[in-house]
Amino acid sequence: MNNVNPKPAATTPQQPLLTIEDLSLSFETSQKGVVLEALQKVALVVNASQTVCIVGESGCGKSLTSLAIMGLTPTNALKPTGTVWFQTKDNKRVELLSLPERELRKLRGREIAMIFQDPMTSLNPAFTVEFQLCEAIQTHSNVKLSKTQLREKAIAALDAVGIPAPADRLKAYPFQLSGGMSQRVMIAIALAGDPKILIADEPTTALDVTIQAQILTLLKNLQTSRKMGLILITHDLGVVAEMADFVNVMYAGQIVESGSAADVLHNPRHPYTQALLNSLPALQMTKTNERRLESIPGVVPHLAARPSGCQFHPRCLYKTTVCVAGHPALKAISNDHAARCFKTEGKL
Amino acid sequence: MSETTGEHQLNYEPVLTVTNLTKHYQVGSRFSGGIKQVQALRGVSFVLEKRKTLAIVGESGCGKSTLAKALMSLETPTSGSFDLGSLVKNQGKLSTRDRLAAQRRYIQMIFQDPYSSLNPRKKAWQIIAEPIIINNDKNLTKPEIKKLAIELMGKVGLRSEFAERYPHMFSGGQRQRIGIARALGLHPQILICDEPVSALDVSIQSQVLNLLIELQESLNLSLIFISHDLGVVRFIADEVIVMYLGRVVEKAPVKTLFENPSHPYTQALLASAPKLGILKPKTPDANISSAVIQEHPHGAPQTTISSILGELPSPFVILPGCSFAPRCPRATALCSSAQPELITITGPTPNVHTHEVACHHTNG
Repeated sequence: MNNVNPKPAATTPQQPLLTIEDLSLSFETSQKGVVLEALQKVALVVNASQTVCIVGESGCGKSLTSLAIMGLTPTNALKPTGTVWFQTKDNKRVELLSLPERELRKLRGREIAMIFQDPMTSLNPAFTVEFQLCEAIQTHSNVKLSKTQLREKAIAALDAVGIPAPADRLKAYPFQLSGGMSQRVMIAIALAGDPKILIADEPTTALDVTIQAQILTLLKNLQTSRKMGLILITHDLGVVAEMADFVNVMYAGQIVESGSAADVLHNPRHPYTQALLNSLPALQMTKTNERRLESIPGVVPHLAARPSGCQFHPRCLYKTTVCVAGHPALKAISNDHAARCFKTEGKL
Repeated sequence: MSETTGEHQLNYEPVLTVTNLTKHYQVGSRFSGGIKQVQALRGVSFVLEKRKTLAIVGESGCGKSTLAKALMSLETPTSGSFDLGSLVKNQGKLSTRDRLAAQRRYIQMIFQDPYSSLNPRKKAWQIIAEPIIINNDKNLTKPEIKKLAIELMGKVGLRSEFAERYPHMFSGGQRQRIGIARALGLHPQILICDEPVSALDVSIQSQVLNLLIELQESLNLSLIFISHDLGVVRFIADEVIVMYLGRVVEKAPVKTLFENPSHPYTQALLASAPKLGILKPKTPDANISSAVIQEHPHGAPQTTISSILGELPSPFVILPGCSFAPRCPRATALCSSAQPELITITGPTPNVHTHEVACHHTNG
């Protein structure tokens, strides 16, 4: 699993489920000819039973990456470029970006499913849990199911996501459910098509910490039992530490560091990853005398005013003239650990 | 952050004393299934000291925001009181309007969402100047007020040329700085911070936290810091109150609370928080990385997320016993029949830096 050069070798017994190469996405602006590059050559690989985290601050492109995989990019976005190879259940390799919408629709939910940050707004407030869950089950079923069959499957699905008294809960409307329960229902709906990959976009950000722990445990258990690939999008490095096998750190539309969770969190090589880890209060507690947190000066660059050279250089402690002029590439440090920085490349 | 007991008593200077604060809300109507009562606060008491930070921790619905609103007199408490001590004199003789005006000079608040808490139709300096204009007892002229507002912007790290900008032209962190500048305009003694950094990105979060600490030190502020992020609380607080369903379940100096949590709910909260320290650090690059990864004292040795069962029970039905009993691993028959009171476990004098827990099985 080499994230720098993700060409899957044909001879390997296990092909990656998803291989993204050079994914770029731009937005048109009202000014003619001016485009904003929201994603720049994003590359990542997801294997079965693997949790891949995409972590970064708001606006770094982590959600857009997942929307591009699903073919759900906003209407004002230009067509994404690059390739997204996906291994389907019947072992066909398809390229998602060039797939017609009709074919893509068949994949959504059955092959790749998604859950979102706010479970309250993701569910339709006008329909019961039963209606929404049964709709998903019927959509992904090849045969027409009877009402009792659907109901049985729905109860089993709610049971599988740890909802107590599932038969009673079917009658509930979304407003009658707590945040944690709604997210469990969302997970049940997402898993109705038995997908090979689940994309979870900040699934626990809106939840309390004890409920967050429950949902993360649930996701982990479901992933293990179904051998799913899980793409977890989060800004919380604590969640990354708990969940991730592989981590991609994004900054201004680029992956700036990627590697195993242990490598990225405990041997961070990109100055941005290091600064992000250092600015967490939980880590700083060892410095009892110094009552200040390390912080990253400045803000994330706006897409319309991208800095020259390395995108992080205006905020970087180690910047030199090289960083202002040249664009660093995502270079491997060890077998699967890579960083986009001239310093780690040894050019400084 | 933790000092010796002797020093504590010497410097003991309360600026706010809250006694048995209770707030009940009536919700619903006769036509939609009857009027129900939510007991948002059920007898909360604490003392805030000068220059100290008191953190209030708990999940949504535990009453922490109701507490903030009650202290700001945005909500009238059902019973109980809070005393600003020597800060507000002759409280009883003033009209409500004058009393509120006096109170606002001593307590100000920073809100969670920097996007909705600033008026989008006003310029940055006008937002900051608003409290000064309302409380303009020195009869300052408009240019003088504007000058004050721009000075305040400098204090919170905003450049003076931003004064004429509107809120939408600022980033989240900068907006939160505007909110802080607005709160500082009346030279308050107490600043209530209701989740001030939870809407901000991690790298911006630390900037705002540092700013709050700098301001606290230079202006001798006392902070009430409401948060659900235990890492932030551990960093900023001197004393911590843990709330569950409107009641204080544990109160302790920050070090004690994190190293020796005694209420099962506090323990569950600490265990549920995702932790970075669970992976052992490899040898970091000494040149670049100064990340000190600490083994969390309550951290599981491997990547296992400890979780407690169940969810917050309905606030409409208040159980006779301990509110946490339905989710508590230690619950016995006693817990579901009798409500545990806050009992001091350790501490020098009553109410000062004591470790108090409301649990029948503290030593179990």
